[in-house]
Amino acid sequence: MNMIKKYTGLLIVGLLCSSSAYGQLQHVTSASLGMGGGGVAYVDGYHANFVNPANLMLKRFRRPDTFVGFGNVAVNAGGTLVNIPVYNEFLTKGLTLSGQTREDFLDAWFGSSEASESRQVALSTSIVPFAFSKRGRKTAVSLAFRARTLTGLNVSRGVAELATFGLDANQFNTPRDVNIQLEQSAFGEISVGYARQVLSLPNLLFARNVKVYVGVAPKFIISATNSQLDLISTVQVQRGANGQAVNFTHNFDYSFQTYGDLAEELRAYERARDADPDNADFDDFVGDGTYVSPQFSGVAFDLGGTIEMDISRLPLIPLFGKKKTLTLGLSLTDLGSVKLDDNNLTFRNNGNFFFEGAPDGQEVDDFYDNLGDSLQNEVYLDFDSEETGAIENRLPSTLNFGAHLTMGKLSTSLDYSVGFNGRVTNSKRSTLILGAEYRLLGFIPLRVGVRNGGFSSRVYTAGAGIDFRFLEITFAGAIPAEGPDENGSAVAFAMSGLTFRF
Amino acid sequence: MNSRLLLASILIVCTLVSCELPESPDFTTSHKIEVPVIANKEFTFLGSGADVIIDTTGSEFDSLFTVDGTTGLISLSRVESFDFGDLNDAIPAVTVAPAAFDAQVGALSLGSFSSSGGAGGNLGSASFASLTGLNPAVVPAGTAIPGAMSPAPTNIAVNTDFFVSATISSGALEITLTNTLGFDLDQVNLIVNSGATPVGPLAFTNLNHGSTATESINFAPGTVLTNLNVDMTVTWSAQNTQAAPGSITVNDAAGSNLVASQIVAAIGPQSFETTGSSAFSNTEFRFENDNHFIQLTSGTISVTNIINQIDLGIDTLRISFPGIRSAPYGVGDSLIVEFSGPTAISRNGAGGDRIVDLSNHRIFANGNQVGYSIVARTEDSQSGAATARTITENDRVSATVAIEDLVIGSVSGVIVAQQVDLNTDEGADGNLDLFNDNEAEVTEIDGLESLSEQLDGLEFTQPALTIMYTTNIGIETEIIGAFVGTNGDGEQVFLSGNAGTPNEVLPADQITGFLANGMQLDRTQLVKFGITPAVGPGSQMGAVTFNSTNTNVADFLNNLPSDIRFVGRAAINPNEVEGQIANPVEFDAEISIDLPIAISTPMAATFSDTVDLDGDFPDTEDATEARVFINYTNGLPLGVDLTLVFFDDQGQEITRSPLAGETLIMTAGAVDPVTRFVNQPTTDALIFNLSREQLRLLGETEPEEILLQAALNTTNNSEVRLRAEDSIILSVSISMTIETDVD
Repeated sequence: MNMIKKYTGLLIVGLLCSSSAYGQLQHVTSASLGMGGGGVAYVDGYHANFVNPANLMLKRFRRPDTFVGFGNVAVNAGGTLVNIPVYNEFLTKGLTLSGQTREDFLDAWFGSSEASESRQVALSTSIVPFAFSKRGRKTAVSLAFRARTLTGLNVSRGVAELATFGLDANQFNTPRDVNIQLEQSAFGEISVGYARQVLSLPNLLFARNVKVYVGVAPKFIISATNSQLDLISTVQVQRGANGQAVNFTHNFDYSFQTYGDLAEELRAYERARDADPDNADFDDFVGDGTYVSPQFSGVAFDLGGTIEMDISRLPLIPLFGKKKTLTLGLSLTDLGSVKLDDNNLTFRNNGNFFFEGAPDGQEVDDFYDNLGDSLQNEVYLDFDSEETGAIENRLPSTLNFGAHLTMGKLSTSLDYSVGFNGRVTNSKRSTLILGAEYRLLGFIPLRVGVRNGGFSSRVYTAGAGIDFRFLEITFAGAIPAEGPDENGSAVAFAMSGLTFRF
Repeated sequence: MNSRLLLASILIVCTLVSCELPESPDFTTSHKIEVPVIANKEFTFLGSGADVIIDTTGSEFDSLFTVDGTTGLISLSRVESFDFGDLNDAIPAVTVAPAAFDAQVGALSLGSFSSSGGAGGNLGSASFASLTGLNPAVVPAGTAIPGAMSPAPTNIAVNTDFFVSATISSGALEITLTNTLGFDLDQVNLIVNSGATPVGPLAFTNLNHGSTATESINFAPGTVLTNLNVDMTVTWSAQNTQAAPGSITVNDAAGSNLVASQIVAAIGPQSFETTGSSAFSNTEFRFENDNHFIQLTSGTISVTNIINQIDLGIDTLRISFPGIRSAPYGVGDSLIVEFSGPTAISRNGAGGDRIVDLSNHRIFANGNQVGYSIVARTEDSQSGAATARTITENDRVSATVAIEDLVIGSVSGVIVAQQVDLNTDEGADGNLDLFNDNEAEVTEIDGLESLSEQLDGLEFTQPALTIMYTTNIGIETEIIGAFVGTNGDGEQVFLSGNAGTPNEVLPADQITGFLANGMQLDRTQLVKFGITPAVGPGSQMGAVTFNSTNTNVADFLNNLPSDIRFVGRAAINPNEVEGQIANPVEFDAEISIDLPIAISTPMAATFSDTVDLDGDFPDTEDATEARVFINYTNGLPLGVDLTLVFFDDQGQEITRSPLAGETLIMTAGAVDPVTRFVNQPTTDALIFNLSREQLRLLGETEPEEILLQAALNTTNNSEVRLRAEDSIILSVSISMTIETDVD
């Protein structure tokens, strides 16, 4: 009883204090996203390969043992740069972004007046075009293909200042940090899952029919494209006495790392430019390709363990039925790296760019045209390439824990996860997810959830659809919670595609 | 079941209500644009290229400026060709009236009467028997005969085959006799008869046997001789005859200074001559000595209508013109027209016309008379088959001599003073109107037009206007004319000579007919200047300079005329002195305007210029503030008080900057008190603001034109001088705040 109270209390506290928790980059399905985006303790079938392979052994809602799925899609975007509360406060009320209002806006957006303060936005997409799983009595196997894109952008406050001030000598009289990091990668995974029941106890304390599953899903990674831009720079705009001698100083250090066709084209341009700077046109060399360069990039793992038990003995909210099943899960996902061995190049330049404009007189537009041309020709297209060697990009690994309680047609869940790195929407900040599902008429799941932490502030999720025993077509979405939060916002969407069970 | 649904619904609604959904955007961005337009750019006052205030290579100012190589002082210079009209009217017109000449034969001289005459000749004889009444058979030689006389006159018909008849004007007839009677005669008496009419006695004394004697008989004027014969009687003394009886022979009958007014005879060659002259007109040119001449570019002399009224052919007819000479124009180079040989003139006939080209001939005609002489020689009618001709002393040869189509190449002499219009006198009414485009010479002064339209109040202190000319006129020429300069604003200033200077038009000068829009100009609106005569052949250059000393050229040129109109007349050789003039008269003139940029601004000069934006004005509707920062180092001796006025497409003022009561002044550089050049540039800064309201107005009504008004002041408003290298260094930047609504 005390444990039930404690668990219930923890759930309430979590709901009320969820702003202190965080979210992570996890594989989501329409079911898991509708309940907040977790699922370590309840995502079953072939999706378990990417969340918790041990869940291959779960048999929920008396579903058949064989799953075949087509076209599951999930999109997850957001971050501290996407701050809807700040947007709503400053950009929807007719305010003029000038003076103190502009300062307040930037402070609210970036959290401080430091130009180096940065914010991120990330986008991840996941498509499972085909997957299969088969559950046996004590073992289960699966095969799943997943295509992923990971895109992350990190900008410093100085970038936002450029956007909101322009080249204002008052604002940029002293050097301001203007930093941008952008990474983008796309790769495919072929995941083979295996799980088995490792322990079965008829009774354990208040629980009956306790079963322990473990699972592992090694996956082969095939990289399609990968690139990363890092720009560390400062911008300074100075005006002399009496408003004279406006000049622009840009101290920069950038690198752009990529491989494949894009790298080759950039290097060809570099060589042409070195040979004949006046006639080397960037567009003649770069821009026509798809830049998909498939490359086997290593092996990674997802693994986990799940405990499933019947806790019907516990007097929990009797409204939704007498049978109550609790599932606890623990998983490590995306253990491994994307390794790129071939043809990796880094294009870089650094220096101090000084621009006074045309001393012979010019029109206003000319200044910016000339500045743009000079920046292009003297800074951003004047790079040198170097062989980078092998590249290893860590996958957005996470440690996940989840609990799921099924009470008849009502299910609730709690997930906690923490990232091992900050790739894309992954975050070292913890994520706490609470979710609930009510199965109307037994085949219409109504799902809600809340996620706090990770790469954004609180988001609410919801999902619905139809979920028969043999067929599932469901979808879910996530939108940010109300109220200002410096951690930004996120949105997500997931669709189950067609999932057949038999 | 319902309670479960209700719980689920409440949970979902609460979740959704607490979501943060993005609202529609509604905000305004405020960006500041900081743009340097010009950075420390030095604009030299004069030069070529982009970094100059006045680009001397531009079409407007090409060759408008000159720079003194020593001081660097700039002069605003312009040279324009200027057509002073056709001075060929100064070439005198010379004409010669056609002259007819008659050459009369005059008195006719009679010589030998017979082809048988002469010593030993026999024109007739009287025998011994007829003269003595004796029978010669009984009077042999040595027979003594007594003194006696002819019992009766013996008539001798004189053989005069050359002579038919004559009416004697004067002179005598000589008769030669030879005595071969065989004895000496004391006297031989002849009665000369014309036919049956005695015309006079003739006596020979002591005509001895074997001798010949000649005696003459004078005739009274009017004596008519015809069928000449003589009645002869002889007287002798007693003596012995010396030879057998013979006769007295008439050896010859010939005239001695025998002149007839009419004859019918076969006569020898007759020569006669005459002289005359043709008169040149002297209304425009006078030949006053033997060295004065006109040289012809072309012309002819014709001898026509040659009529020979003499019953004798004219073997040679020579007409000499000693005053018409070909090169090298010596006396021996005079023109001779001769009819002889094939062109000889037949008796009682006509000669062929003769036309002689006078190109490149000179005509010397002292006293404006060109003389000629005619010499004629008739045929010899006694030679060959002699035939008698009937000739009177009044018989003549006549002809017409005409010197025509004279085109004068040059003249040297005295050209009669005359007034020559330098412009076309439309309607030949004697008036020349400055504002009649068909009469006035109009010269546009390129480059000054734009300056005059844009600049007002700037005073050039050392202006000059120079007429540079090239002429071949070797005589004094004085021009009185009217120059009027009109600037870009239509303001007119007349050029006039200062009082007491040679350029002043005096009351005595003829100025009638100089008009401006039909109104007679007065002499203060005119200027007088002379042209220095060219010395020797060929063209020479000269110049007339109008400066502030001799004219009001300062006013004239400070008006910055964009065009100059001129009408004038030239007084050619007003003192009628000897000189030369050649055709064509060359008088190529150029007007040189020289405005050394030594200027002052007693009152602020204004410069204005309109910039047509052609829709290029930036959209300022979203701008809330605009500031133009101008930093300058002014090395020009000109200060500028700047105003910009913005106009819409209807010409209505939208706004201006600076606003009333505000100024935007750029200070002039400091000037050296001696050289008047800038010796210390002034450094300062200006800030030019456009308020939010002004920008709103400019944004709502896009300006079509910007009027740039600049009040210019020289340093301390005193005279300053500008050098080509004087410069201003400018740094200009724009700061603009632009607000953009996003909604």
